[in-house]
Amino acid sequence: MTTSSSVLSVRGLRTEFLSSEKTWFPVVNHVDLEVAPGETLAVVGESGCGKSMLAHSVLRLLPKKISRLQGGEVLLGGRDLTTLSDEKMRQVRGNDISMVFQEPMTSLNPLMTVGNQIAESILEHEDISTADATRRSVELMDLVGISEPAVRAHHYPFQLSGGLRQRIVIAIALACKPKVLIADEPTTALDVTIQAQVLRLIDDLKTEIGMGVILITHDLGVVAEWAQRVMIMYAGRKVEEADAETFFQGPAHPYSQALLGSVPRPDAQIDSGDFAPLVEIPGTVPPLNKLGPGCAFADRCAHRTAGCTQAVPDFIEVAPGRGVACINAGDLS
Amino acid sequence: MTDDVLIEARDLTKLHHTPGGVVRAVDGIDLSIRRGETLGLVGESGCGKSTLGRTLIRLHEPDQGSIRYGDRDIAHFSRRELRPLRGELQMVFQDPFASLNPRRSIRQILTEPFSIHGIGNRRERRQIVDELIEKVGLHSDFSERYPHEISGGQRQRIAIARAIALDPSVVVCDEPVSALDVSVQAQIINLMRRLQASSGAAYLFISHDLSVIGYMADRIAVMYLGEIVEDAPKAALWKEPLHPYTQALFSAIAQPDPPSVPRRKRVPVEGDIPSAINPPSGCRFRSRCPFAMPICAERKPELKEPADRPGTHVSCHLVNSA
Repeated sequence: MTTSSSVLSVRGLRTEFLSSEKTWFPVVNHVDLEVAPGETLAVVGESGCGKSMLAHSVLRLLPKKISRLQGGEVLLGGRDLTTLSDEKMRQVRGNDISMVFQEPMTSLNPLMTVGNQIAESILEHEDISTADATRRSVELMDLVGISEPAVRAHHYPFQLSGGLRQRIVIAIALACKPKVLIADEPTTALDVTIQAQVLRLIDDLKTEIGMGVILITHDLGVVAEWAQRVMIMYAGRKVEEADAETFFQGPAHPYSQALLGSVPRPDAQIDSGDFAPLVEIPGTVPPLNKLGPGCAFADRCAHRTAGCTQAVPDFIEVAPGRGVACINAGDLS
Repeated sequence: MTDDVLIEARDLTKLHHTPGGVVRAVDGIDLSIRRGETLGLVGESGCGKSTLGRTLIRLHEPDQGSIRYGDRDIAHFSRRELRPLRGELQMVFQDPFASLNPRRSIRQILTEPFSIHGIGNRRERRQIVDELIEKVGLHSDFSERYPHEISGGQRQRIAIARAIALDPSVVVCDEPVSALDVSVQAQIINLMRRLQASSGAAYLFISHDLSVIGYMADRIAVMYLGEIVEDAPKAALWKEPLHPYTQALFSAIAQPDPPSVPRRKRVPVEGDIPSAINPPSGCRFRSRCPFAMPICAERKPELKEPADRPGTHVSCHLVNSA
C-alpha cells in the first residue's frame, strides 16, 4: 500500500479520554491506516477495543470535554483533518467523508420525512434549489434499492423497516459522493438476508463511485466476504494488519488466531462430525484506563512469555499493509 | 413418538392483539424435543420465535393447541398448577442485564429459586449456591457482587446458573449469546453444551446467528411469519435445505474463510418480511420467493415429509409436488 494511492491516510493517531479519576488515558493508541479508492478495509475487534473511537476520531465526532486528540494526522485529499476548524470540518463531514452507524433508528430524525432528511444533507453541501435536492433524494433512494422511492420519500423513519432505514442512512451518507465511507457495524442490527443486501449495496456503490470504505465490525464472516484488507485492534492498538486472503489463511497474532478459532464453523464441523469445544479466550477485554506496562493481551494469551509483560510490543511491518505487534509472532505457526 | 420426548407441542397457536389488528405470532406449530437434544430455532426478527419459546414453557398461555409435558397437557394450566413446574421449565434471555434484578446480589438472585421451592435450610442453600456458581465457571467469591459489578459474559453465566438451579428438564435459550463478544460467546456456548451433556436437559435454542445454531443444534426448525416452514436434522438441513426460504437464509451465511475459498451460491430474497397482521395468502413466503407459482397464492402448503428425506418436514408446493 503506497501513500500516493491512498484516499485516506491516518498516521500515529492517538486519542485520549478523561477517566473518572481525572487522568487522561489513550483509547486509540498510535494507529496508522491507509485506505485506497474502491477498497474496503475492515477494522475488527471486540467491544472496548477502540474501533468505534478510531472512527469518531477520524471524523472528529468525539465529546469535547472528556476527550482530546493527542497526536497524529488524518490526511484526506491533501488536508490534515486534525488541524481544520470546526466549521471547515463540518463541510468535510458528509461531503468528503461520511459515516453509517449501527442503529439506523437513532441516526435518523424521527420527526422528519426520510426524503427531507436526504435533501437536507445535499442542501448543506451543495448550492442547489430545494426542488433539485428533493429530486436528487428520490434518485438516491432509487440508487440504494428502495422501491417506490417517490412514495417512500414522504414516509417517516418509524414507517420503514430496519433494512429500509439503514438504506436511508446510506443514501444520506452517499448524497455527496464521499471519497471515504466509514461504516460502523452497519448490519449488526439487521437480519441475515437483509444484512447481505445492505453489504452488497455498499460494495456495489464503492466500486461505482470509487470510494474507500472502512468497515468496522466484530463479525469475521462479514470481513472475509466483503473486505480486501483487515486490521485487528486490541485495547486501542493495531495488533495485526494483512490482506484478507493472508489473514484468513493464517493470522499471525495470538489474539487474531484465538478470535478466528472462537467462531463456530458448522460447515467444517458438519463434514467431519467433530463438534469439539470452541476456542475460548479466557477473561475479558481489559479496561483501557487500567493497562499495565506490557502487551495488553498478555493476560489472556496462550503464548505468553516473560518478555510480554515488560514492554508494549512494537508493530512490526514486514511488508506494506502486512504487520503484527507481538514479540512471539515469529515463533508462531 | 418415543418416551424420550420431554416436551411436545401440537397445533400451538398464540395471538397478539395489537392496535393494528391480530398477529398470529405462533400459528399452529407442532414441535417436540427429546432428552438431551437441542432444537435450533431460526428465523428473522418478528417471525415469532421468541413467542414460540415463551409459549412452549408457559410464560404465555396459548390460544389453541396442546403442550404435552410428562404425561400431562400443560397448555391451560393455571398459575397455581404451573408453579411446581417452573423449576423444570426454564429460560435464558438475551440480555442478562435486563433479566437479573440490579438491586440483589448474585447470592440473593441464586438463592431465590431454592427458597421459593422450599429446598434446604439457610446453611444448605449457601453451599448449594456456591456450588452452582462454580458449576458455571465462576469463583464463589462472586456471590456477594451485584449484576452491574460483573462483565456481560459473567452476567450471562449467572443467568444460566439461575436457569439450571432446579435441574430443569427443558430450557428455552432465547438468543443467549447474541449480546456477547465473540470470545465470550465461545465460553458461554461451551458452558451450555457441557451442562447439557451432564444434565440431559432438552434445549430450545433460539438464534438469528446461523453459525451458532449450526454448531449447537441437533435439529433445526426454520420459522417464517409464525409458521415452521422446514425442520430437519442439522446436517441434512445445512447441506441441502429444501424450502426456498431456508435456502436463502443459509446461503447468506458469511463464513470466515479466505476469499479464495468458493462460497455457497447465494439464493436471493427480495425485500423485507411482510406485515404479520396481513400475511400473504397461501404460502406466506411467496411475496419474497424467487420460485413463486400461481398455486402458492391459492393454497397454503402443508408441512410434509419428503419420501427421500426421512426426518425432514417442509411446507412448499415446489418441493412437495416434485
